[in-house]
Amino acid sequence: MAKSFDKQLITNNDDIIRSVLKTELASITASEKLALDTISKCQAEFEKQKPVEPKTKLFFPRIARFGAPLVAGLLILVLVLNVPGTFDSKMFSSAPAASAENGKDVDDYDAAYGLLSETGSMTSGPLMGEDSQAPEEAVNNFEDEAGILTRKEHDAVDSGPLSIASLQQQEADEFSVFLGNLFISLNQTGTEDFLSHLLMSVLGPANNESVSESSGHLDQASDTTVKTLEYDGIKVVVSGAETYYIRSIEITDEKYTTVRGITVGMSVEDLVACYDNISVFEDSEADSNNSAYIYEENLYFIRFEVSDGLITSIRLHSENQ
Amino acid sequence: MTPSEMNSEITRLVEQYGDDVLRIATVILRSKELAEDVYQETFLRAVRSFSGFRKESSEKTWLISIAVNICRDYMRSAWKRRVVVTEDFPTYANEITTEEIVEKKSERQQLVKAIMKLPDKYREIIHLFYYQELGVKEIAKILKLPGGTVKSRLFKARSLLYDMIGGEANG
Repeated sequence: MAKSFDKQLITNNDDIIRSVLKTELASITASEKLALDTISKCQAEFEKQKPVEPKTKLFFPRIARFGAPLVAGLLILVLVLNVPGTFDSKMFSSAPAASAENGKDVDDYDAAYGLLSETGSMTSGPLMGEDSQAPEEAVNNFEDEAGILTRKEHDAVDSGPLSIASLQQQEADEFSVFLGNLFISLNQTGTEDFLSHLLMSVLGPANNESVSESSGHLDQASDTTVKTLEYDGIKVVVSGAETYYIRSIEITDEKYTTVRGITVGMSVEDLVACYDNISVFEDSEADSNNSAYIYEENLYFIRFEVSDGLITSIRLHSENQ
Repeated sequence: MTPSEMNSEITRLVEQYGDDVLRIATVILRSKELAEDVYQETFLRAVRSFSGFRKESSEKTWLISIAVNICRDYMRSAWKRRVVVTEDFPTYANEITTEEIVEKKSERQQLVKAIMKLPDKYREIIHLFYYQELGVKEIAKILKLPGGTVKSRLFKARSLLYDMIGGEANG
């Protein structure tokens, strides 16, 4: 800045800042066209509005929504399997491993397996024995680095309405946490169901879940639901009303890493080497080996707690919600 | 509310608060185009949530709150993250160009430029406090922050501002 700047212009005088902003921002006005367009769009929006159905926040109706089709499917399966001639329980009770001792059963199995293969529905199903598993399938049997999902589980999720592929379509970013090659991110938003599926597919079932309601934000018609989900070594807070956000992620286990590969238990030197523009928490009076380090970007934060030179916890959170 | 009542209500809100909405969006996003998108989206959301407006805050606070949230949605979107915004103050067609005292104008512009260069969280709070003249409680509601955080952030914003323009800190 120019040295000639009159310091007295603002020093000790908030009114000057106010006055300058008022004057300078006065040049920003909406054009008549913009205002008229907006009014027109708003009128159209109002006319097409339908009465808003009250949003259910109950857990059981949600379970009923997903559970009912599942139960119906299972009932149909049970009925089909119990229709005489449709399913030979003996044939499937002689699994390939056991069938090796009984050539007839093997033939029966092969026949049945061939039939099923033609339908393309059970080629790698759970009824296949170890010796019938194709070598390439064994090689490909998917288990990600952290052992989150087997191939079968992975495929099962993939075949669902919200597959891992679709859940993970978004690119990982600075505010992602990885478990193996799957991740969750503060930037992932969507319906409550979407985020539930996402967390389930990456982290599995929560050990503990608590739900609270808070008064909605000024621009929200409904209250905000805040869910705290605790897993082994990681806690995730999700909140929202219509759109849900991952509000914070707190890691206390080394199996979870940031996108730059930093995890709990690593040294402060590793941390500083990875995050060159990281800052020590401004209120911290402790030494550099016992402090909090903050990485910040556009209202997104990663806070690394360091004790005795080692990272003890990592908390990602956003004020952008 | 009948359609005609709603139409007049929309028109009133746009006329009364439109510029405020556009200004805060411009300050936060530092982009004229994005700010105009936020302007439209703010009033559309206001229409959608009009029945849910609890009158617990003023209309202005309510609309500013919607605008801030939309700005934050823009900022969090991957698209926005790839957009390089200008740190300069966006120039509008009707910018005042009359002969002012050149030196003073320059100083004032320096101050505005310094504000626009502040990190997001400080820039928005400076705007809400100094320009919109909202109190700490209202700002806390809008930004969903504790009042203490608003105060400390305001203090830090001023410190940064004074440092940037070469003034003395924290008057």
